[in-house]
Amino acid sequence: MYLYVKRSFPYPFLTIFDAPDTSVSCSRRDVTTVAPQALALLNSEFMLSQAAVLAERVRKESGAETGDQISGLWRLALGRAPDPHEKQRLSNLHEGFSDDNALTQLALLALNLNEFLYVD
Amino acid sequence: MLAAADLLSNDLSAAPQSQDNLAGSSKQPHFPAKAKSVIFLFMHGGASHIDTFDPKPLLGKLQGQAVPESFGNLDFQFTKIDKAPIMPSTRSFKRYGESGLDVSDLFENVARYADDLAVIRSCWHDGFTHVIGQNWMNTGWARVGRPSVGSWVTYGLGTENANLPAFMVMLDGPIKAGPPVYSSGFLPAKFQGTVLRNDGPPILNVHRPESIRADDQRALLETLRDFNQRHWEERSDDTELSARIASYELAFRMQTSVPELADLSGETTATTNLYGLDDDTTRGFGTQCLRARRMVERGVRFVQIYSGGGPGLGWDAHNELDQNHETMSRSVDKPIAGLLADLKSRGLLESTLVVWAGDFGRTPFTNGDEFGTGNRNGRDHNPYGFTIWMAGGGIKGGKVIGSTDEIGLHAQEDRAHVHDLHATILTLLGLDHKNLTYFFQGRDFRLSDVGGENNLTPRLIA
Repeated sequence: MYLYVKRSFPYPFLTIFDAPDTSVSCSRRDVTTVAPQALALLNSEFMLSQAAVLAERVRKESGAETGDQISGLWRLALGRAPDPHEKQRLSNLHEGFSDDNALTQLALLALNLNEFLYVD
Repeated sequence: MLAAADLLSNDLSAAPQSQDNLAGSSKQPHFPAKAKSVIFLFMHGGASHIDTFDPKPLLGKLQGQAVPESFGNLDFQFTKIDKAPIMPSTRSFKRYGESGLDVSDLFENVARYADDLAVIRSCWHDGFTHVIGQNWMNTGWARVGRPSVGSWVTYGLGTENANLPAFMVMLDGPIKAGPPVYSSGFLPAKFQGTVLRNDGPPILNVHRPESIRADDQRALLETLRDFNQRHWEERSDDTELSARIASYELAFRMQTSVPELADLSGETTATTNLYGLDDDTTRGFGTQCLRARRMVERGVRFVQIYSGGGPGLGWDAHNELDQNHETMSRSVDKPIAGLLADLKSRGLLESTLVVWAGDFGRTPFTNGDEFGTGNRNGRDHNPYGFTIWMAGGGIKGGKVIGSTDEIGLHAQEDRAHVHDLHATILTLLGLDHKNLTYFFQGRDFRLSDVGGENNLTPRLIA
């Protein structure tokens, strides 16, 4: 993946995730794990828009039934089916979300999972 | 030593099922201490000790001459010692307070608290460039990769406020040595500094989006925690995964606590004026100092503020030192004095150690190879002898510790290496610098490495 970055305007989302300074060479990336990163993955416009896109794809590919959507979401995000525990909790969560963006919020959850973010 | 045993164990990575904050819950120090928190004021670029807290009248007599050979040969970034004329300070020094502490006009406001300051004039390290000097002062090592002082302190003492990061950083521009100077190095990631921004949201994305209700987000986070914890149980040696789980807990609480921390609307005009928020010159650093007070008030363990970040390197006065230092000191002098006054009047200075330092000091001679070629009235970097000061945190002020030689080049009496300064800071916080260790690459590392023998604490508190 390539991204056009102006040297004088570091991309804030990447800065939070330890993007190296654009003015000096970088032999090794820093790795940090701090709360502002969690805030970015939960609250940023970028993540919300990505969650919405993912939810839309799930809706298109898996139909309108919640159980199917959950399975579809898990398959797209994690490459596996949800286990019974996960399926139960996600259904409860979906029910609790009153808004019509319930599936978007489930997609946001998937994008925040360690299992999604880390290569095992 | 039960508390110490707990403290010294390497298993400080919060198990995800605990309610731990990023920096762990509050821990007992090794021995009772007065200082509970630190505000570290870092003058980025390197302020001149000769023009601020270490007057050298002899320089006036030697003006324009070469440094006598007896001072030896040393390396500097831009200057050959035998090719640079001595340059006296043009600042006016006065003696302040009952103690009669020497302070120049560059810090005439801070000088009003002379009797609270312990000025350490014999500091030294051997890094004559910014990155190395900043690494030394912030992490106790010349090269990148060691944990910063703030990380060691939060590793040792944890936090007293589970709703805020324990180690917070404020900048007015990027630091030459970069984020590693406030990172956790080989310590677990949760001990690294969190940057509080000056403009806009104090921490990016700290506000929950309008499209997501608070209840829904709480439910989402509970489920996320449950799933991440199940995932972690099979990988429980991975501190990054557990740090990430803890970071979501803190993130949720920070959505309330951080805006509250950064919001100065509840402060009286008298207070905001004390920090110089009514003046464009001092508003930036003043706001950071006032936020620093609000942080320690709320139990933040370590606050790091950098003055002079950005490509201009702040205090780095290779040219026209007077002009540079007047501009820089005007922006910090009143806010620092305001901070000391405010901490004092709220009874917080006793428990808050305030440290003023920078990359290094500056040379008693001009910058560069300048004999007969004009004089740019600037000074090169001098790591071989420079000044820092401390106040609060149980220190008895109004004193000078150590000295440099007659021209301010070498630390001379009571030499205090960076390891000694770091050992001293840890001791003031109740931590034994030799026992605050972390096992990494086959050995127990310390902030004070194999140094720290000249611990200044007994003389600072006496």
